[in-house]
Amino acid sequence: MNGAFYVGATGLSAQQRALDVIANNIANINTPGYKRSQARFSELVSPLSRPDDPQAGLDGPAPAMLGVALDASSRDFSQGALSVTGRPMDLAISGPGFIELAAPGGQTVLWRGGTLQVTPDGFLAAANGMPLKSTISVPTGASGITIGQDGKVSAVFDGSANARQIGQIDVVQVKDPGGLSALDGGLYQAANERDVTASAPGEDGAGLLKQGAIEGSNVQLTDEMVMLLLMQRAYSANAEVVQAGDQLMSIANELRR
Amino acid sequence: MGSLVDIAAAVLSQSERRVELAGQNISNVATPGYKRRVSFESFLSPDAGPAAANQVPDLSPGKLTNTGNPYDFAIAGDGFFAVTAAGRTLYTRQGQFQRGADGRLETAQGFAVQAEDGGDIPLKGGVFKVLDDGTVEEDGQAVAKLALVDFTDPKAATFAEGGLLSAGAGDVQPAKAALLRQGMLEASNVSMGDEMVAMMEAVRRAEGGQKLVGVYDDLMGRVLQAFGQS
Repeated sequence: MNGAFYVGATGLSAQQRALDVIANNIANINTPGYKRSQARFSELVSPLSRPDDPQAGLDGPAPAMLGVALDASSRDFSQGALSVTGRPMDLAISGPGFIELAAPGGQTVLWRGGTLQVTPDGFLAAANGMPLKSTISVPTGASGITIGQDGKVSAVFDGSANARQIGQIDVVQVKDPGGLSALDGGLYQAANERDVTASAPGEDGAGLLKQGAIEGSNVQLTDEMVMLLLMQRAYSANAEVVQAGDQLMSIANELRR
Repeated sequence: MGSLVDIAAAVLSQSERRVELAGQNISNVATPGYKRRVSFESFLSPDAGPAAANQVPDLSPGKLTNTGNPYDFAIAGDGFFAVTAAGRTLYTRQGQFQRGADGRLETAQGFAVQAEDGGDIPLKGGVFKVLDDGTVEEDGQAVAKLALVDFTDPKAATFAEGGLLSAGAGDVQPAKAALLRQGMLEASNVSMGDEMVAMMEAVRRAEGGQKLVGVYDDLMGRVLQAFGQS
């Protein structure tokens, strides 16, 4: 039927989903540890009917135009700004890497840091209740938990003036952060256990741990606003294309009076 | 008299195809590296082939934007990346790359990016840096060199599948003046104003075609009426 209609429709749908991505970024601008997504477009063209024939593209009919497609959006894992809160239970990672948490189902999820808590069982866990994979048990009577840049966790026990080490937090890195799937609550999951390599903070390029700080989102408001304007204009231009297609169809319909 | 209908039908179908072309360009205004489609159909040629055969890419460069993503590349100057798609080597300026499942460098659509001396580019996953002549470095070691080529005959370039370009009847040669910029993307070269004007023009032409058909219908009606009465 009328090609312009469908081409315009793919444009409308792609720009609308891109607007959703931008809106999500802007909505999470104050979410600690949030990593922005980027919409990626590619042109949609129908494939050649004879892909193995080297001459097919030269003499035969060229592929039909099908509009635009939105590829799965990619996450940008660049560092967000660290803001110092002074609360000893706040932990941020300065540099690449994640902290592993043990999810209720038994699988491992990755976390960019945030607020810690001590569970009733006495383990160090994230604010969402998932304990750290590098199990650190905090004995009763411990107070004043200190986490060093290198991941050493120490606590002061009553009566003693010096802190005693109670555990070590490792930082894991993923070879290809693009392969991580995002879970609810700012957690990520690697597709393959083999892609995750653990090391002490600061070694092998892993980031350092910073106690008393929270990592902000890495959303740049100016960039998102520029993209928002562009998507808005592109959306209305695609609507014009659909309207033009509609006009042509009505002209054709009115040929026979 | 019959040729009047043929001409009117050709005008109507050409207007439809022109609007479809404008629609394709407009829907890809945000696709990085997209080269807009330009139609060279003559105004009145009833036996013009399918619109696609009359489209040529406008190879003028788009503006470069900074994204900061190490897998985004833009070419400053004339040149294209070479990728393999369905066994053929095709070309693109859309430098949105990623590491594929088996570690090779591929485009966002999954086509393998080619190295200068042919073949895919396997990546092991170290720190990824590309110099401005196309040399790919992983953890500081040079691993391969990206193929940066230019068309010997830019006018022979045509559109192929997957949004890629083919050299058509011409050939490719190594690009002489191209610089690679990592962390940047080239925007499309679609001019919204041009596309909108072309769309308006096509719709008006279609109205003209409609009038032609109306005139034909009117005349034929009178002819039939006149001869029918005698």
